[in-house]
Amino acid sequence: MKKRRFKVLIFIFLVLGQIVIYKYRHQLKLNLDLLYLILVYISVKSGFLRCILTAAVIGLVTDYFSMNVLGVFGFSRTIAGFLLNEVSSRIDLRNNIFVFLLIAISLSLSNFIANIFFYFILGLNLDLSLILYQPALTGLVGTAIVISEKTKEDLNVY
Amino acid sequence: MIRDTTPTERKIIILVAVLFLNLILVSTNVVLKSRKTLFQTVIGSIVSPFQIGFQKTVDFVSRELTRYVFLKNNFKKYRALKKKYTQLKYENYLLKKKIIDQDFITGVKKKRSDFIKVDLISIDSNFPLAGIQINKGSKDGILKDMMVLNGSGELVGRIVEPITLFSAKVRLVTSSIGGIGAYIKTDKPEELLEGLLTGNNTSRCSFKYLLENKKVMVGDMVITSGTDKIFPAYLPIGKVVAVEKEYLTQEIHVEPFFIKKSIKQLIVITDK
Repeated sequence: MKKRRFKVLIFIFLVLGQIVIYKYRHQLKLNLDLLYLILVYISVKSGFLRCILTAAVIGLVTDYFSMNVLGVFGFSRTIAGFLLNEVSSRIDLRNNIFVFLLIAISLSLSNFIANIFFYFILGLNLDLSLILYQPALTGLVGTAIVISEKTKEDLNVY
Repeated sequence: MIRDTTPTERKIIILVAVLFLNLILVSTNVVLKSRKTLFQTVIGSIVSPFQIGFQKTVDFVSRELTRYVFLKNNFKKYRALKKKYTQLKYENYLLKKKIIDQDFITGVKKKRSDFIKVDLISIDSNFPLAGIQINKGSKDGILKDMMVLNGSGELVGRIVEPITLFSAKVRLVTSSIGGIGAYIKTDKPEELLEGLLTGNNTSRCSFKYLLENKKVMVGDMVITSGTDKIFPAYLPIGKVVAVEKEYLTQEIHVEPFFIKKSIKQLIVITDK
């Protein structure tokens, strides 16, 4: 019960944090995707169907916040969710480096796919901050959240 | 037989379905160069042939209907105009006839005071220069032996039997029956050569019983002498067109004036 509450609190924190970041992104100069951390958690912990559906929903929410073409992040996050779901069972998530790499690489790949869409739809060039900076920063935040063994245990990441 | 799908296949199907849904979502939001979303374009591509077909059908029906109504109206107008045209043509004909009649009557009035204007009804097809039929009869006061002149006041013939209520026969000057007492006016004003003018159902009449020594020239005018007690004297008849000398007499060929003029309208002198 306590673990569940902690989990919910973390989720609320991440959602609110993401809202704040989107609202004040120009002032804060922060490029973080906290919703992606929720997706990572659900992909690691849940089955395939839930993971895919959650990924699609989180992607659409991201689309809504980013105010871009609806469905682009829905698409890319679905692929990311699928990858996370498939890969997470094969790596040791007790190692924080792997956690970081899992988050950063999958987010980078997801953003890269989204970037391809933006290139063809809106004519935007490759955005390095979206492919490198944001994944790295999000990976760091994600790793920081699960850095302690206790948090890992509370979140039941293993 | 439908094979059960494996868990991996099921996963792939779900993944593809979700991705596909996302792509559809993207396509509904992407605005193409045509300022329409991809979704709108796809829907438009599917629907547009039907729409074009429907539009063309509606246009065709509408156009044909408009044309039909237009043509029908035009046809009605055409018929009305044609009717009006015929009426006007008839009116024009009547007015022209009236003018001609008026001119004719005015012209004649200068020469004669008491006359009836008559129209030609028919010509004897066997002897066209023997007799004609006119449209006035005893009802209009036509009597036997009345003079018939053309519009220029030149002698055409006289009324003979039969005379009906509404028609009468005219014996022409050129008729072979009977004769007219006539003079030939030569170049000498005081000299009038008397003789008998008879027709032979041709365009020429013969002036007979003129002595051979009397000098007659082609072109001399022939007028009535009044000696026949039918026609009054000095009515122009025609002119000399040929002269044939014989043993004691000479035969003069005379062409009546009315031959070269219209006899559609004539006048009958009722003044006795």
